[in-house]
Amino acid sequence: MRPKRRPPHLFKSCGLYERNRPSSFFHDTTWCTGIFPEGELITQWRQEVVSRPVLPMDDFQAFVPESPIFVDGSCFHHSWAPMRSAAAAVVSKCGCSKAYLLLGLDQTSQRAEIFAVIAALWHCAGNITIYSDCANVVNIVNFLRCCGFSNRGIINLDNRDLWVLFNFMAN
Amino acid sequence: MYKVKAHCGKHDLCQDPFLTEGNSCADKLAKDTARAFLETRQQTACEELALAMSLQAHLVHTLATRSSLFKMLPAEIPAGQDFFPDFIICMLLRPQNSDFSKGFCLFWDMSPTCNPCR
Repeated sequence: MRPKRRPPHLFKSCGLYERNRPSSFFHDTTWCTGIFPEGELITQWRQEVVSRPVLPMDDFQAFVPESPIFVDGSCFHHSWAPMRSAAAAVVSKCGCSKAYLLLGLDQTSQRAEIFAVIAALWHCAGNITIYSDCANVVNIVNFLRCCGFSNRGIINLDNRDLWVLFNFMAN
Repeated sequence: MYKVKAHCGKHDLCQDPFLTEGNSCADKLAKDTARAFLETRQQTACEELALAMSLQAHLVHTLATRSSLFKMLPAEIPAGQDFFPDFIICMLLRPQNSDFSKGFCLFWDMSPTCNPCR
């Protein structure tokens, strides 16, 4: 029986391959087959998109009550989803400050602003005064306060998951 | 809950300085946190993008070279001539710097890397 002939693959023994390959982390398989394995970034991002934003228990009511709270959210929006980044910050007059990253697939500045308000409620007990630079969030919060923080008021709102969380915290 | 003016500078007295200061602190903290997270990912993203693009360039180059060879007899090909010049492949390999702002341009256009002289 004749031995099976194994011709060299299209991308084997290529001079350009030898000159151009990044040596540290490129596997021969990729160059030989053209199959690009899923990278570390995508793997990490896949874990995050199924995660929910979480506030740590250590920060629960950690701020001084009755202190004015400043909240803000920021988002670096990118067309490539793994490169999006959003964060919410809470600063109190007493000098305490906390910042949280927003995980999940949907990251926008609006969600960051809402999450900042939720974080403010998490940090303080009792009646608090919150200052935000987002008019939409301020209007909705004041509207929900008039509704007694009922979930009926958020049926037609965007980012309903965060508003449900907000109502839960406010109640 | 109250609305404050966003990004109001200290020199701008249209708002109570106390509100301006607090708003600025919160804004800076949120931006710094988001940017720090982005920077941790930027290097990895640059490497993975450069890798994917270099592979694409390699595949296109190989296929184009082969198809051009089919059209010409070996005797007709000048020695040392490729279908694409080498620098097109080389410049796609990796960003030329690790600076955040310049490295970030990699995602929008290829101008930082398209310099055959480097």
